[in-house]
Amino acid sequence: MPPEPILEAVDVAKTYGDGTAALAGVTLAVQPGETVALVGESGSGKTTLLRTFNRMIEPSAGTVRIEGKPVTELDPIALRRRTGYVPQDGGLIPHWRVERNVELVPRLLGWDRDRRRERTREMLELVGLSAAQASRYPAELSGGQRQRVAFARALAADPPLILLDEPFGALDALTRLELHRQFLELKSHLGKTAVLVTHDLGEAFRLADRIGVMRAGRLLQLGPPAELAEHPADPYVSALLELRRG
Amino acid sequence: MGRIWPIWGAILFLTLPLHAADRVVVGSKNFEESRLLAEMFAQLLESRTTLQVERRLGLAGTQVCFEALKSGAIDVYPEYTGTGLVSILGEQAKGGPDQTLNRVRSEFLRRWNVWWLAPLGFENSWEIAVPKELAEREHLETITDLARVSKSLHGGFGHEFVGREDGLLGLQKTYGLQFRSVDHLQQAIQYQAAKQRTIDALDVYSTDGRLILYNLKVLRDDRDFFPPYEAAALVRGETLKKHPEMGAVLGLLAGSLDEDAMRAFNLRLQEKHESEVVVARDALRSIGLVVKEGNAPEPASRKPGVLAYFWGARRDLGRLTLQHLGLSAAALLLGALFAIPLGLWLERHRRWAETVIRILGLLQTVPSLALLAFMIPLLGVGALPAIVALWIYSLFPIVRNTYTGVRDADPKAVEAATALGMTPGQTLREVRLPLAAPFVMAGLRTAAVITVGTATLAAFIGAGGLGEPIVTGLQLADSAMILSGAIPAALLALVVDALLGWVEKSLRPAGLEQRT
Repeated sequence: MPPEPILEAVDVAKTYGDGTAALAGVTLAVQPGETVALVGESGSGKTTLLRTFNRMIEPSAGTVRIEGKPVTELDPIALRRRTGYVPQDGGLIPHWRVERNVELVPRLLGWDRDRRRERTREMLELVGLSAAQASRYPAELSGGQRQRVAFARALAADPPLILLDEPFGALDALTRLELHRQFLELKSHLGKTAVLVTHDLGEAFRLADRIGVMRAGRLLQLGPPAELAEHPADPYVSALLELRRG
Repeated sequence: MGRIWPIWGAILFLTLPLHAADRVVVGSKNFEESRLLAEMFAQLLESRTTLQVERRLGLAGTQVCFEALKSGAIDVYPEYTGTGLVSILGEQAKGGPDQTLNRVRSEFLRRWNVWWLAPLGFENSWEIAVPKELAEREHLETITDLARVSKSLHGGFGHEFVGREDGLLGLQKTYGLQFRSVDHLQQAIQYQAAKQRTIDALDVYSTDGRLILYNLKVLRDDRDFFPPYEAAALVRGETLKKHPEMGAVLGLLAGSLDEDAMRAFNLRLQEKHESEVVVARDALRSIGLVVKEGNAPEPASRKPGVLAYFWGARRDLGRLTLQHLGLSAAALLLGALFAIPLGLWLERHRRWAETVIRILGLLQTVPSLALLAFMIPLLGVGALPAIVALWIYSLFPIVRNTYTGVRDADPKAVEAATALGMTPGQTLREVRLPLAAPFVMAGLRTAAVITVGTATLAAFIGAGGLGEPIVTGLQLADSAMILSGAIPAALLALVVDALLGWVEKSLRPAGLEQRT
């Protein structure tokens, strides 16, 4: 019997007021410690699905469970505070110094100052930023540095689950490779559960334990990279893999 | 609630003098004779009663003055019986001076408990004048005499006079006047033209000082065509009840002035640019109602250079500048207290935003004088309606900038902050408001410049400020006086803009690149 999933989506659907369906019933389960990548074109519903996990979007039907509990029974604010989040471009708060950005969630959770400071130092070290950079403003950093800060911020309160929405999308190729390597290090080091949204299949193959392919609001296939490569369950998936090989 | 009190306090402070118990407020319209008569009332009351007298001279026209009187913003002002009958009661002019006086007296008492005191002894009505030399040669005393010779004469009349039934049209019918030609002229040009004998007859106001200067003779209206415009003090009944001595003292002026005397006094104001304070004192002296000396300081003579004028008027200008700043600051403060929360509310209820901001934008396009005039029936005259009008003008830029500033504040940062568990209140306070602060401040800055600029018009409804010398100067065609209000007002706008620009810069959160 598999361990209890940390995150579950059952028949999750999202239909907007104008009738467009962003999600047409998606079911998946994420096990503790694994990294699941959601890949697909823009408009496939992958970001919408991700956002139902921390209740940034409420599904029109279906259930999302975190550690077995439907999220609708959780206070959304408390839920978000114990779920890490890294958006594209970092989403750092521009008028706060790096250290203040990093200690955001610990501060919201009411940690005392010394503990926050210690944790911030630790996190910056973890993502490879110097103490001098802690007192910079986001605008004074490079894109890669900003994204590292965003990772440090997402990890600061030690959440079991981290949601990543195209976190490497806006970086140049070299920086992206550098951050990929760091992500894998962190992953083996920290053992966090992560859901990674990306449109880059190569990235998914590099970073994820399992890959879910989405199209038009549906999850076409979910499995380890090797399984996808060998037994594509859908013509679209095989076409996608062809594209990657080519 | 608590923090609003200081502002209400400030407003009360600004309007309080109007309601103090032993104070009376003397008003006037915005032309020389009205100001002179009001100043005479004021000086007489100051010397013969223990009342404290406040002056609100130069209110814009009959409607403003009368509304101010009705609302209690002023207690007394000089008015003309014909104006009372035609403009205020809206009746046809008919009958002689006594009939007119009796009619307005009884109606004003009945409708508004407003008293016409005994007339001052002269009329300031429309009349026909001719050059003295022509009058002597042709033996002209009356308009009937004029009709006898008019066929060989050139008439030159004001635009308004020509078009009105109680002007030239009716006059021609009543007297059978027929001129060889009739020109439509501006008032200032009429006098010049008469001097050069381009025209032989013109319409005048009977107490205009220029009748002396240009050697003109007023012809008697022997068929009582023109309605009588007897000057008299118009007083609130409530004020008379509280201070009966006021009626008695102002009654001293009954029948004390005639047209010749008024022309001479008006001439000193119109052409020699003397202050009404001095002329009023001389006038009271000439009719034996001497006012004690040293009561009103001798103001600077009116014809020095601009710089000397500024120096002479420095104390007044200082006071007016403070008043101006007070009006603007009160309006702006109230504007900020109302408009910033409104902008934030609209950001939360966006479907209202378009409509509300558009309505405020429309208000912005109401001409300032019109807006000030709308305020009078609601709030009377003085500081309060001026502040309210300025407040209305301040809303649009503040609301719009607050709304768009908060709405467009770094959406990605706001989204991330929310996704990491900040409450809407926390995002607003810690992220969106700080990021929007420079925009809100820019709105405030625009509003401040508008307010300081528009506040010059507040003088039209007696709120004082740097508009006062501008309004008076326009009446007296005294450019030094106009500049003495206009230059400080412009400087004030610049200083306020620079100051708020500095505040705006220092409110810009650190770490932000210059957004332009």
